[in-house]
Amino acid sequence: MRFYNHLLKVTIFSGAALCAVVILLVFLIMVFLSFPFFSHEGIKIFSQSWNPSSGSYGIAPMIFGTIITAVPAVLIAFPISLGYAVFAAETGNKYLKKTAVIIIRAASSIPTVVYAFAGIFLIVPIVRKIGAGGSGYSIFSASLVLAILISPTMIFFFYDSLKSVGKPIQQGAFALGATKSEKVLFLSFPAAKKGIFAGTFLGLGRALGDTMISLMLAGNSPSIPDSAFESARTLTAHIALVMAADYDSPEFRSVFACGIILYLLTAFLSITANYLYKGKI
Amino acid sequence: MKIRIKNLNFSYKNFHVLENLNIQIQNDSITAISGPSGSGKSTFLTCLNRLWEEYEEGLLTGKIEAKIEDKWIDIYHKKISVSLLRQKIGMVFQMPNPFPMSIEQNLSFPFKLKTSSLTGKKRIQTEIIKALKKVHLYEEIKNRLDSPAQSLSGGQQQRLCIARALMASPEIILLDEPTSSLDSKAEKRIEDLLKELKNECTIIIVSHSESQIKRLADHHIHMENGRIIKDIKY
Amino acid sequence: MRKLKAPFLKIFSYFSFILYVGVFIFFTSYLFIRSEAPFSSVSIFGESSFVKAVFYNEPVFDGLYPALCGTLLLVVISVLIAVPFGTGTGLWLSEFAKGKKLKIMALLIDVLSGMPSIVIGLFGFSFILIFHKIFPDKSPGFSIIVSAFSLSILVLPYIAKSTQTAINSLDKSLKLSGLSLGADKIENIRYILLPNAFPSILSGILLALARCAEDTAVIMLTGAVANAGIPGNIFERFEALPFFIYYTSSEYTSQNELTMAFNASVLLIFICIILFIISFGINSIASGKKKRIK
Repeated sequence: MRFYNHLLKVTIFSGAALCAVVILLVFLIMVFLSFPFFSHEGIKIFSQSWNPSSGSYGIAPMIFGTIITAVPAVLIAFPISLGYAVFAAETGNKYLKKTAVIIIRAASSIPTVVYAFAGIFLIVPIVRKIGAGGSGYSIFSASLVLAILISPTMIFFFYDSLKSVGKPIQQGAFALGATKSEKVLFLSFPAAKKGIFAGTFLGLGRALGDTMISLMLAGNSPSIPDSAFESARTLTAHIALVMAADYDSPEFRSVFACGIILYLLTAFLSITANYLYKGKI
Repeated sequence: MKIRIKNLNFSYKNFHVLENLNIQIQNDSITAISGPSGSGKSTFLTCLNRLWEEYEEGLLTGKIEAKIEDKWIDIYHKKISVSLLRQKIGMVFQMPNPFPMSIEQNLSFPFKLKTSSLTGKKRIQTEIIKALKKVHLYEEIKNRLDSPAQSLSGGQQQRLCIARALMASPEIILLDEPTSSLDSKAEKRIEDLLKELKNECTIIIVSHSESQIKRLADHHIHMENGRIIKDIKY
Repeated sequence: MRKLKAPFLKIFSYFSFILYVGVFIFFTSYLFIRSEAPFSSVSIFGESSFVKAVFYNEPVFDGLYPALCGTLLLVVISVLIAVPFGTGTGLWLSEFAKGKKLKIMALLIDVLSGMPSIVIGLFGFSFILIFHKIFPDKSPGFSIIVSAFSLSILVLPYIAKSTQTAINSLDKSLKLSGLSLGADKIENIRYILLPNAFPSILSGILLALARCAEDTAVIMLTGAVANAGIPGNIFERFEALPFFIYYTSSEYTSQNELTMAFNASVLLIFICIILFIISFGINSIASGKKKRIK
């Protein structure tokens, strides 16, 4: 009996310690392995041309690609997610409200690779038709499917925030003559501001960090595109694609540089979202 | 007369909360309602501004008529706009419930509603100052109207809530134990305020305190188990 | 203008709901239609029979069985690694950590939870590289154990957070009951807190399981390959359903292969939804019990 108690104690403390160690280790190894790349290439890595055969290793197109797919995805997902959350928390019909919550829970368990796969057959052909002569594999396709992917996460956050608006102040609003919609618009939204921000940041983090959708739908050409219907490559897809290359080449090490950039970006977003939501660091 | 209530019965969740209430309330008076917990006092108030409809599936029978804008109306009539009704019959709650916004935003809230007839920044500012003066809060906070309402003391918050309810120029104000969470000094201020307000509004106040009722009431109704036990006009 | 806003909100919320649900149903039903669900033996086992493949280890070339096995094996090993560390960390956070330590750890976990899965895959891969440099003979290389280890890092935040939440939402008097009877902290955790928080912790673990099953980016960089059969030990490469879907989508040579990818999609959705339903069910039963006690 004593043994198990002791085992438990060990698990708890070593678990926590190891957790901290691993998280820091991830960062350190990234830095360590990307260092040769940064020192060798210096500021050149932020150049716009990626052409390993001619010695240029600029990852700027990938940084651009990441931002240009993630930000539109959040812009598309935000209003729809907010509307959905309002429906599920406030304005929906009694039975549909419950269904709405269940659907969103189910949707959040669907893997990104499945969304991407379906996107190949459902979104790409349509984009091919409407986009002037492109192949359909484009920023536009990737952003759309990313929006679908991140919606459940954002909806959950928004829904939670709306539901936690205090009942006394809601009663106060009704007593002053507000209708339900007016209450949501003029009381719930301002009161839930923090949660709405945090949810958006989280959605952005997810969109920036996703690999499969941009890998399978955005086209992967390593240059800055001219229009939304052209192909682009994100940092995440770049990592996946380059992994097949030679181990010690600068091409390969560029991957760790991408990793660091992604790590820092998402870490920043997570910390900010956390700070907004809980009001402290 | 301001309010006529005939054979009011109200039940929800199979619980008969109010039984056969017959009440007449005069205008420009203070009516106090007392009774033990669970006697239905607060529920009765929410029947007057139909607030229960936002939260419960209840059954109400009987008639409640009020003289609003010099016309007698049936509060539960199908064609009545509930939003408009609630602006004419205001409510203040037991625990102060200012919105998590600035004082100014709290007070201008009623003007955002579509049933409000007031517009224009200047007009709204004037009304805000008027209401704050009525509750004797203006001098205390005139320099920090954009600070958060929740930074005020309990007594100040409650007066703010009364001011907020006054913004829509109600003819009747319902107060549910408004001073029970306040100290005696704050309580006195609010009682004095109510005595002033009675000249422009009909006031119905639920109170636990016999002494408060003695100080304020022109009309005292005592309820137990959803029924009226005493109905005294002074 | 302002007066128009309010009714507009209701319409917009209905519109958003219908739009999202429509798209969701559109996507999922398309996958179902193009798959062969409900599955026959051929989809899973190709030309071998069920008995031969499962019991006699006959290789399956045309079916999802190896990928399915790979995924299941991977998930089990990942969870075996992640659960002790995750719950340990969660317990530490809710019972032992205070002040600065708590804040720092919570911050680290938040950073980890936001990290892109490919970066974690990259870490797993660099782990292989570094190991290879230090111990050139004993390096595990591309293998199921490295993938499982990397996946456990991925889901660690989920398990830690849900354990922490589960313990923190226990009734305060319950939390103190063991201590007031003379138990020390560890005994209190073992005999009172864990059993009572168990359902919530379990549902968090199930969600982590689902996350392991569906992830592609991590395993792509650490051990998943196109053709490996069923791994004989944990140091071998493996196949997995999500990876199968990915590489089929870019390199399919026949309609049949494509259909298999649709099958894999449906199978994967099915696994994840079942895990989600069980997790949801556990949570409902647990909160139902709480209500009855109150």
